[in-house]
Amino acid sequence: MIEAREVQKFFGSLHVLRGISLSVQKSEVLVVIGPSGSGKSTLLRCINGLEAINGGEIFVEGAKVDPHSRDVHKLREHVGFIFQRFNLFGHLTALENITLAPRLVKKMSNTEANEVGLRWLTQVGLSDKAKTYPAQLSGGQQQRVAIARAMAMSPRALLMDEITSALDPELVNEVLEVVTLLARQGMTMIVVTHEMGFARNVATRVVLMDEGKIVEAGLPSDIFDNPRQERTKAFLNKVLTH
Amino acid sequence: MQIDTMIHIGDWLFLLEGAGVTIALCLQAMFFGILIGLIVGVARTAKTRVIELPATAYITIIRGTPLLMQLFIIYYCLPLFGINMPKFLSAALGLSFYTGAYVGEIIKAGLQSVDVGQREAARSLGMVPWQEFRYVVLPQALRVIIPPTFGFLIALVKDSSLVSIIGYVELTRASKLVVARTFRPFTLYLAAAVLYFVLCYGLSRFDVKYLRKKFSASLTGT
Amino acid sequence: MGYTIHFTEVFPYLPLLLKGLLLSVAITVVSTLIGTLAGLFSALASLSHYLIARKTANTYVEIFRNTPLLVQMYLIYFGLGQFGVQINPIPAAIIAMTLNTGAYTTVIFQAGIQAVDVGQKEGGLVLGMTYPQTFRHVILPQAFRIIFPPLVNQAISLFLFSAVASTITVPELTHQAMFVDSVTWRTFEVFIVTTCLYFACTFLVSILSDLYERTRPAR
Repeated sequence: MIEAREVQKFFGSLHVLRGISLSVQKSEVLVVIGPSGSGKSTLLRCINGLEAINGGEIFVEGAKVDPHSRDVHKLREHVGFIFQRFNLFGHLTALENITLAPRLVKKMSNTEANEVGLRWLTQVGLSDKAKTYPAQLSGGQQQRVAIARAMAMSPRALLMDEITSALDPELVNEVLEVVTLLARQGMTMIVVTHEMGFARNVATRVVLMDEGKIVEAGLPSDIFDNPRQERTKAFLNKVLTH
Repeated sequence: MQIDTMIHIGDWLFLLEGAGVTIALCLQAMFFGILIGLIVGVARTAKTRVIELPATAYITIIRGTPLLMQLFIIYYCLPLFGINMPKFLSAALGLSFYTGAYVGEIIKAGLQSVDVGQREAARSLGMVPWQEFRYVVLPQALRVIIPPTFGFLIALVKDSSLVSIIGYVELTRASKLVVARTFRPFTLYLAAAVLYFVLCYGLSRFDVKYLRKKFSASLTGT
Repeated sequence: MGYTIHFTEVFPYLPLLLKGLLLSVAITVVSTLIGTLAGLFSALASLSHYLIARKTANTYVEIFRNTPLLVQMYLIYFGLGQFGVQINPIPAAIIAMTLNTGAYTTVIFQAGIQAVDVGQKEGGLVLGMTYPQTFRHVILPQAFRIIFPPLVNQAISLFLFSAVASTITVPELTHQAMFVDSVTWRTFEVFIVTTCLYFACTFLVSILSDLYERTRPAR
């Protein structure tokens, strides 16, 4: 459903992505792990056109991703994105955050949008916070609202960029629970994360990136229990011992 | 319709002289204004009402009333009470008091921007109040004070045009006088505008290229 | 040589002064409204992808921010007369004040828009909203909080400088004050009363805007 072919990306003279190729099928959960600076987040941002690539191609449901095209927003209707820092709209309540895009983009009526919004708010366990503002919510709650906001657009795939990295440790689980639920419901996902336990449980495939390249790819059990590459072993050692 | 846009060289010199007067006037006003501003700004931060209230009143009134009215009152009203006010003195005084109020407010904000923790640290090291002020508060406050004060200077150059209305011959008045003689208002006022532009734009370029860099670096070493 | 103060001689002329005040307020309000709108568009142009829009906006802003309002007014009221174009005092003042306001509000809007976190913009875009939609529903409302105080200050400042319109014969407050002075010779009293009228207005606006800011929900 999502395919990347030999993707190259430069930030100035910094070669961040050096020929990344991967493909994600429907209902797959692809987890991307790797050291900081390996280009994981950049790859995700290229997939939905937040960043432009300098080489190679990216296809979403067969259509080529072109950030400069006037229709790039249409692609984003179908591919949701969850940020590390939530990026909830500070001036709107939780429910308003969720219903804004359905009203403006999908042209839903207010009643329809509110219905859908409340449904997703309940799914993430925050139905009582509909009228609260982001500043009054904890990090974990904000991130769950962010997920509900993305889901209200009925996306066909979700991109998640280290969505628990900015959270206090005790708030991480509530978010991971929601993501696990979505995975079980068959949502196609590409998840960049440092949460290895979560990766192991939820991923259908794991990919390790380092210095802009894919070092190793395979089933969770293969990567975590029998890593083949040295760099994979080194990374897992560093990450899993604490 | 003949558009004669040539300005006689003599008139150009007259305008440039006017620009010189504008510059001198502004520098003068900044000098005295900063002195006034220091007194008033510090007074604004005082805890005793007797000191703080007059300062606040002064700043509030000057900033809440038109500069033109302030100039009129100094130039037209003071002579009624026996104080003779030549034009240049009215202009200089008016602009100085005007500057004093605005700079005073900037200084007050600058002083208050210094973290309370800094003062506590100074005191716990055994410094006396004036040492604390001179070595800890003032240097840090200055970083916050200088950029907006410079910005005010740029505004002052433009605001100084108002003294032309009480007849003081600076750039705007000079151009008005030449217009009266040559009947070319567009040409002359455009020339005046160009000279103001050169002054103000020049100052703002200095601000961006030099001042901003020097005064925007964070003090906590990040 | 003594000068005795007689405020009572000025009071009969209070209605005239108030009429002038009304005009001062009117030209300020009109210029502020149109100028602020112009400033918003100019700010958007200065942040746009098109080079020509950016250059035009920036040139306009630099010209009108680096020249005095007084000279701008003289250029429009007297200057155009050199080409045979004579604009009436009030429209001339409004045009000058509007152009002036537009330049200053452009900078205010630029600062406000850029102060809104870039993550907010991305948050809107990833939901499939177009940039105009994101700007209108996400960026602008949040920029407004930052923009409001400087905009109010700009309006107050314009009101105080509207006094210079008296020099191009606009019958606003200062002009009326000079007339009353020429009739009563009570220069001190007239100017004090006039100054108090100006002050009362700015003081009122400051208080109202403070109150308004306090009613907005804390974020």
